[in-house]
Amino acid sequence: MRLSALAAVAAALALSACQDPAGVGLGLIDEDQADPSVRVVPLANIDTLTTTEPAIGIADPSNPTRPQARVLVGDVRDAEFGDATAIAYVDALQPADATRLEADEVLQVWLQMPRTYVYGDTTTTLPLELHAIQGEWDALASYPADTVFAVGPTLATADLSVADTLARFDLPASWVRANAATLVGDSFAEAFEGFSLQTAPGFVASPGAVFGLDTFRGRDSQGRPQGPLVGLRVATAEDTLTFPLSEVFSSIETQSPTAPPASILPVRRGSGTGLRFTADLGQIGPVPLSRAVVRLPLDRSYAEAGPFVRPIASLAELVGVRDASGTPQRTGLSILRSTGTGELTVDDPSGLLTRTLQQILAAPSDAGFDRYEVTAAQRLSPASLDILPVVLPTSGMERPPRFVLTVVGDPT
Amino acid sequence: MRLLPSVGRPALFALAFALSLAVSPAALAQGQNNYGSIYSLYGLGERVEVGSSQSAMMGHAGAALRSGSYVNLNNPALWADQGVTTFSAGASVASVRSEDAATDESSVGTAGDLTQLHLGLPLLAGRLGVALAYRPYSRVNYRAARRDSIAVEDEVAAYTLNQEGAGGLQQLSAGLGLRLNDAFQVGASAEVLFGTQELLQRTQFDSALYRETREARSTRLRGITATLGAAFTARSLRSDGDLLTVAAALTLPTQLDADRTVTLGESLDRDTLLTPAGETSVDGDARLPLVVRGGLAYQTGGRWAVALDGLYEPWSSFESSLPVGGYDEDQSVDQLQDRYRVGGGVEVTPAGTDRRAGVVRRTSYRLGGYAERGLYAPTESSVTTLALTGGLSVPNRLTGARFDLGFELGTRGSTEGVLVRDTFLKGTLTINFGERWFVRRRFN
Repeated sequence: MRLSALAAVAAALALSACQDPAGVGLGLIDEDQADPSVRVVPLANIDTLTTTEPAIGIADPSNPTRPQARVLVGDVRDAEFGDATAIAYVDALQPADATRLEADEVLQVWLQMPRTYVYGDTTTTLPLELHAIQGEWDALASYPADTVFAVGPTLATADLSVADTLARFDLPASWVRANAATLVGDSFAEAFEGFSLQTAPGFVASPGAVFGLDTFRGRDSQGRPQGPLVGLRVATAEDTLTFPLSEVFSSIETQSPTAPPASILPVRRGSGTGLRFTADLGQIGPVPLSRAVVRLPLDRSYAEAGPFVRPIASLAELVGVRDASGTPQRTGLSILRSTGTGELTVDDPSGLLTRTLQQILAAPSDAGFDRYEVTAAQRLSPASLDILPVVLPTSGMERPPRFVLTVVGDPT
Repeated sequence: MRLLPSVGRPALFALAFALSLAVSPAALAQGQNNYGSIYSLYGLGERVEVGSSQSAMMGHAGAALRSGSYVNLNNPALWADQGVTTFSAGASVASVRSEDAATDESSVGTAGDLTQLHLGLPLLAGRLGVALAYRPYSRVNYRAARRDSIAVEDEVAAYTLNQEGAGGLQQLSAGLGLRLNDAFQVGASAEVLFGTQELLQRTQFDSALYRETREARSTRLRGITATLGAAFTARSLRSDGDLLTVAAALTLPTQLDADRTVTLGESLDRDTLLTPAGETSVDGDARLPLVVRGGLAYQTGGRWAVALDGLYEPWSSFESSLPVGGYDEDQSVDQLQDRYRVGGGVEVTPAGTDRRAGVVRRTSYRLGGYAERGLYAPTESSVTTLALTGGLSVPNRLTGARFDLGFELGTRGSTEGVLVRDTFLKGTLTINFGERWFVRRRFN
């Protein structure tokens, strides 16, 4: 009898045990239409667009609105992507212990910033000048990208090449004497507007270069500060204080390319150009969408031509635009990242692009976005002249710029 | 106990333990995934038989089984027998192990369900009774899953394709049973049928870069029908107090109104797909076939009861303007066929009507079985179910209250072609309360 009881218990347990259902019974279900499939939608009307976002911000990586890790300075001639001239503007923040000093204790002042970026001829040596900014400016204001502020006479000069990892501008003793009281006084924030860095007027770019200078000290993977100090250095007999940079701005004046490439779009950050295109998703129909990816092939041969280098943007932003109401309404869709395979593609684990396109597919009456735009949003990466050499589609091209949609089944 | 010489008390406890395990919360928590038979995809779901916990343990043979303490929901004519006010609530858990010829694996689904709720009132004890009941009419609870992969340009994405069905129809009944004389009684009830069937295709990719997709086809149905019942009883045929009852019940065919929506996504994030006409749903109807059941029962003085039933539902006449499992008017698909069931069982209560006997002797022991031809014929061959039923009905100190523990063990279908063979075990626990209400006090 015990055996019977055990058998009954065992049977009950065996039948109630949790087991994932297998493919049993699939033959009874009509699932011909149910398998996932891949739909490729070629992009159309690919063209450049004008962007207006200035390379401005706060030299603080934790700033929630406008962090800006780099300023640009230099002059470059680039027939394919357009000439560019950059002027850097930096302001500084007075440290709390500076006010404990007396003005006559200040012996020496200099501005130092690491050079970590170059666009253009890597053999170029830029003759740079430092000027004091005259008049107020605000990093949270909206200036045209090529805004130029009024500056005073040249205070310091320095020659900068790719071999130099640190740009240093020593302010003259006369300036130190004249401004020591401001540096250690309570009115520093109001009285000091910062410096501009620009190429000397006599410099002729041939083809020249634009350098990028870091605006704050970097950190290693453990979060420890690394690299040289960044900012205004104020030396006394006993100590050297650092005035970290605060507001920074890169005024970038660009020209249209004089010899634009035929096979790519000369999209470049900081030069006021982005990318736009359309895509007809109406052909897909109302199907479940598992993944949507946009793939933009890049021609990496434009990144380097001898000593002339053009960094390729690692990040960009995909935006959908609707024009229906007259005023363009923009919807952020995804971060794009350039990959080792030479494409700019979606890098968005949240699946926002997929979810948004799913809503469009689910509503046949929704024509979707009128166009899509790819821009290098400032919040994503430091100011630069990085390029996006997007390959233009040609007939017979195996993998043109495209949406790749993984859908399930056929339209209901 | 003399009536059960081969079944000792330990065996009874073992059986009770096994049954309670089958319906215990622990078993539910451990194994429940709310999946049942793949055959529940057909028609409007797998038909659910709910008469009473007594008839369920006797091969669902209850059309003629008279009782003063059970309300057999399948035949309103028997509601006239009510001597006390009764309330009954039952729950079940069923495990189904499925296998087919196409896969080496088997799948196990476990689902819990409310089997019934009812309230019975004797307006005139033993002559006129009314009942209200809520019970399932059909259940859809299947899942089939397949692994595969797809090349997405240079990547290979592995996925699991799940086909799932859920929901079913509920049945709300209200009616009267009237005893015309010592031999004849009749009854009628109105039945409201309502419910939702949801057929879900869920695709899960292994890579987190892919979203799980859910396309759900949800169909709401509602309608009204009626059941008419009659019973004839002959008394004292072989001994004093024995009864032979012949009874039948007919549930009329009815048309259910339906509306169907197709959604993508899940819960609050669902997008409703518009129809070609721009509507959010498609309206339609489904015509349910009649249900005819008949049976006979022989009962002796509360000690023995034997019942035999037959049931017929002509699902070959089923019509639906919206495609359902195994039926698509537009595609000329009709895999539905008439459903038959024959069942029978026996009950023994050693103490009979002796209320002074101990619990074990007053416990009713039931055993039965049934054979059923399903309402579907996927490959033009019938799918047959054979099952053994049984259980205990244990009285307690509350007058008229009984705890019924039942089981149903059986097989359905075969592994020929694309067919599936289910082996199922179902455990039920039903609590039946019976009490005299509205009794006029003789003394203040």
